[in-house]
Amino acid sequence: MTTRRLNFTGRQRIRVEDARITLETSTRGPAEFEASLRLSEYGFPADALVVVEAYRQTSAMRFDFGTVAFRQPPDSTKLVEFDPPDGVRFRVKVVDASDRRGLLLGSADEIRPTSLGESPAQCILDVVFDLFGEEVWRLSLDDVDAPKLQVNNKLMGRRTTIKEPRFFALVFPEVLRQILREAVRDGRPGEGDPPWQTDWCLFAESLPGVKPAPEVLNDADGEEWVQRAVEAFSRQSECFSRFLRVEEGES
Amino acid sequence: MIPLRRLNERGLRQMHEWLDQVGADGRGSVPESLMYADSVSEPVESGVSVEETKSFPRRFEWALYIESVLAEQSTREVAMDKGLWAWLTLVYFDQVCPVDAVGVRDVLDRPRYVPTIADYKTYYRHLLLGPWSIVRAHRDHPDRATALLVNPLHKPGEVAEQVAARQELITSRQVVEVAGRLYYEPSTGGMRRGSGSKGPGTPRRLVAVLRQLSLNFDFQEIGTEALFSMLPKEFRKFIGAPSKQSAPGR
Repeated sequence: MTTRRLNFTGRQRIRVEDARITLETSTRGPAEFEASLRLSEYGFPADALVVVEAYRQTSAMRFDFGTVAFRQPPDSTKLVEFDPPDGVRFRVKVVDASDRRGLLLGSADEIRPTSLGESPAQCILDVVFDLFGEEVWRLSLDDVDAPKLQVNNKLMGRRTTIKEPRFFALVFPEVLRQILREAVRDGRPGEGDPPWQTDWCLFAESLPGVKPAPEVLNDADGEEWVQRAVEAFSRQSECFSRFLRVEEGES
Repeated sequence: MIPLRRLNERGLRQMHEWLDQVGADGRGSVPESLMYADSVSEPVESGVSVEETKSFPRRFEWALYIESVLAEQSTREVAMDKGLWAWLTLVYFDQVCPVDAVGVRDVLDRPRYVPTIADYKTYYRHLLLGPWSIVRAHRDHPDRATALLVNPLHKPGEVAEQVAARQELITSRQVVEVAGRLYYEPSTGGMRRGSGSKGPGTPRRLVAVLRQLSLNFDFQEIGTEALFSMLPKEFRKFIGAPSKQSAPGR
């Protein structure tokens, strides 16, 4: 069940493309990161504080990046709490430093870092190999954290399995369906909703023939919009054709 | 003292089967073979040991103890070591799943004993990993987290369960201090009366209020005092409230 939180102070959402984090890993110590922040278009006060936080499970690190007008990265951005840094996420905050000290003026959350030299193409689904027993996959969904595809850990040594056409065709359209149902449960996600919901909604709307999700949806409309998105995804990915080719190739 | 070990895949399977058996009638003791046989477990590389006979009055003492044992290990390596936490559960099983007056164990759901490592929404529910991860997150000042860890090992407690479920809350010094100020009674080392219930002013409500506030405020910048003063009136009843009758650890 989605619980809406109210953005009653007018906090701005910083766009993903304006808050990029690049990781530089090293075999000699913890990874470091570089933050590329474009904040000039948001109209934040010049003296507002800029903070970058790295987090994963119950670990977190905070880095002060100066102010909006005078950006000053810290002496070290070594992720000593995250060694190795897999799965670490970042959030960027712009914080009022005037008489309303501590008020969040802008933020971006759940930022996935890219590796040095990697294009910033956004991946919106985490895949983790943490299922035991006979279950092949399971989708982890809740009202706050980004969805995660859990896969049987025995497939960890065969990571290519999840890219294999049959697995892809049988699993990913259903994953998309479940995620979109949750994302638009209360209508098109907006301010105050978890960022992952907007990310997935935008992804669905980028598929050929999928219209923007209506702001308000009843159950039937919502299901129809989700179905169209799943069909468009399957069509674009040629799910059935590729599935069939593998099947016929093996017969 | 026994050197730390971790269960392998086969060991984890056998532990699940054994928990199924114990869960059926609440009776049974940990098979020695499951803890020490090389076919189901292996030594942990660090070579450190634990006192298998040590008892822990509260989750806090457990967390401090295992943190001292694992202090040199990286958070990631320890937190991801499912086999280690499962093995530790077997070592201290009589404390994480004690027998009652008639010799029956109340076996809880599986993530309490075998951690769901990659599922960050449930991994903290493990009865041994959960307390350790809280103390590790606040290792600069572990006493800060006492309020979340006053229960015995087999009882996680409402405050810890509610706060630990949210990454942005459990890692916040200010949030943990506010929770401690509201629900912890230092004179008894236990929780204040009503802190385990539902309704106005309880931990469940605190988390809802803090999540709302976190959308609009940076807790580190405003500080504990200001955060505390932002709480609605419903929380005032816990200030100066009497503590529970029971002493901690019962």
